[in-house]
Amino acid sequence: MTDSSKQPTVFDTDQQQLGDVYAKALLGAGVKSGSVDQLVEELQSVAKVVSELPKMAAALESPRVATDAKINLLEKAFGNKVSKTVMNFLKVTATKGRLDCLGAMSAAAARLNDEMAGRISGTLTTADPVTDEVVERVAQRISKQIGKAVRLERVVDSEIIGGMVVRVGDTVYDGSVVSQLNQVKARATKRAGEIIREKLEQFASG
Amino acid sequence: MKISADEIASVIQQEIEQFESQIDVREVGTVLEVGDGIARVHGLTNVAAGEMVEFPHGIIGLAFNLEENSVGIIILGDYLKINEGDQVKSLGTLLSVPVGDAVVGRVLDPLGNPLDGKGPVNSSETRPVEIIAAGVAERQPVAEPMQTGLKAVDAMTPVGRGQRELIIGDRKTGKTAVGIDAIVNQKDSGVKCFYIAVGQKDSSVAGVIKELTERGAMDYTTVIVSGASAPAPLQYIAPYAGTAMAEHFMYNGQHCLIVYDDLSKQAVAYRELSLLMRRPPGREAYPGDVFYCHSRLLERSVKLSEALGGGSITSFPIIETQEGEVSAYIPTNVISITDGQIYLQPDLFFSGVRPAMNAGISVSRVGGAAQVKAMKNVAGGLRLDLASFRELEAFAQLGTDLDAATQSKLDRGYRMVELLKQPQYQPLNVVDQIMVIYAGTNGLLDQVPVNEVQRWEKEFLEFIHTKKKDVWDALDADKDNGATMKKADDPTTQKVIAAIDEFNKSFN
Repeated sequence: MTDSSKQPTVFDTDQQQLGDVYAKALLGAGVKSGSVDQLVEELQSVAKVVSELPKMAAALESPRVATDAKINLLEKAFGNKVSKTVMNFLKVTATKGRLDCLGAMSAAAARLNDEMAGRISGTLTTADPVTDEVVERVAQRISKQIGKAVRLERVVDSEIIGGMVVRVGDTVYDGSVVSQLNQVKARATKRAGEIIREKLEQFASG
Repeated sequence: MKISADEIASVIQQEIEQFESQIDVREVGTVLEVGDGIARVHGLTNVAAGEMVEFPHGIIGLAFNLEENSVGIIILGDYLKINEGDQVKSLGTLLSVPVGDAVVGRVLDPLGNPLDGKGPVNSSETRPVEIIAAGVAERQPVAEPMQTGLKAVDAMTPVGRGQRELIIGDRKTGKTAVGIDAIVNQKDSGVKCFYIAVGQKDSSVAGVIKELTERGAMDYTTVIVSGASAPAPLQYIAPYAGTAMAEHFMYNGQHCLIVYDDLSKQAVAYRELSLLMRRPPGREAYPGDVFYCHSRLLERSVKLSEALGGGSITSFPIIETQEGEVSAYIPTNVISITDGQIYLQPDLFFSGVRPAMNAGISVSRVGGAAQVKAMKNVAGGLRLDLASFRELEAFAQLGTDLDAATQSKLDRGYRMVELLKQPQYQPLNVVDQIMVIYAGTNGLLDQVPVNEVQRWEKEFLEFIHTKKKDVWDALDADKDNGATMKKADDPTTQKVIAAIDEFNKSFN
């Protein structure tokens, strides 16, 4: 696992704020037509394609490329694959010169949609790949505790050795072997240090 | 003595066997950017202002700014080890420091970590660094003297236990010396002392620690250091941390003395933090709440009511002025917060008047009530006399002929100035102070040449301690009586006058 993939949340707060505004607008349009989930999914797939094609992303973000050319490019690429609302959304974004915030918009749309539906998404980190059944059981336990539907994404990280780490929102439930080993280590060294000090003090006083 | 490896191994084994696995639930955030001792963190949704957070490698931070999309954290440790994308864990507690007897005699950093190489601080108790000061019902008026051992201070600007007396002056005017002398003078008085060095050169702090150690003052003193090379967050919290350590003793009915050396550097550290956090700058680029920063600190110097044990914290905040400018922002703030100030002047300092206290503008607003009665009787008019002497002296320099009365007033003034000079690290007992000041103010020194006054004082005190111990003891027993040394017909006064006369006959 590389360092950059470990830091999925490093971003620009300005972009995040813009993303929130645009995502809210898109969801507002979706609520009217009753197809919010579909819109969010489409926007996510568009954002994914753009992020996977750096050259296309560069062209869309560049201020030197004319807006018309960008709109043409978007129509050719996604014209028959996404709904009209999403296409219009992309065109508006292109006109405003905000296509660089596409990633933030898609993330914000997903989050806002989850919030509206009373859902919350999180990650389940394990040392080895786990089955769908395990993910489902963990999600149910957590959703019972916090009173919201939880959707978990799987992450495999061999560094946690065993057990699992669940992160929902900003809360981390850490049941990994590595953190338990660290706790044992901290307590054992503290206790051993105390014993050595006691002995030294006995020696000094007696 | 032997520490066997087996024994340690068995301790560790026990710990492992007894370890119960618990799921660690914590709230986290992610570092967006870090630098200059602060970090901006995304996440930590439910963090409270002032709450402690932990970065990787166990570095502690303090939630300082809560914003819409991020949290501004001040980092109390080595911020160079923190990277963008690191996970930050909230600890759910407020910042606390170890307190109790274990901190006495130690040199610590503002988090209570030892800096003196004497091993960890073995204390089971901690206190939060920031608390709201005791309210009016929990206090009582300042009425007990806090002797600094300096003639000029104890006579003219007396300090009581629970008072905040500002020491203000330019650089190199002996500000720290006044504070250190006050600490040295607390030997055998049971007062716990705290010297809090903020933004000082580590070399000068080392010098202070050496002097305190040599004079046996480290037995009851704690030194808290965040030097000039410490990051701004540590300099900012150092005074609060030291006060928290002192409060432990105060709430247990004991008395403490704190020297904050100095608060202008703390204000500068706070300004740095605030500007980095993009709080709006105000006058001299200080943030709007720099007054509150000092007032909430100094309000914690309290004389507690008898119901709470009657403990106290007396504080000597130090402020460094630039070119004697007392009307700058921070000096005026702290002057208005404190209960008086000792103003030290460079020209007096360089003309050999040490402590270089300007009697005219130095005041103590509450200490008079706490002054030893006999001292009050002896030195009551001294401050005004000395101030009028300084005026007269300036006038006399014009070279006009002076009448006899004015000349004698001048002569007495010169002798008083000589008498109030005092070398560093030589605090005087209050009884000694009363006797020599009585001699000076009542004309018993008029026959002694001005340049012999200091020798007179030294030899007179030797004489009293060796040959007239009974007079000394009588005054010591009677010093809290309102009539003592007030009029010449008081029996104690007569004994003192007789002793001085006797000594004067043999002095040459």
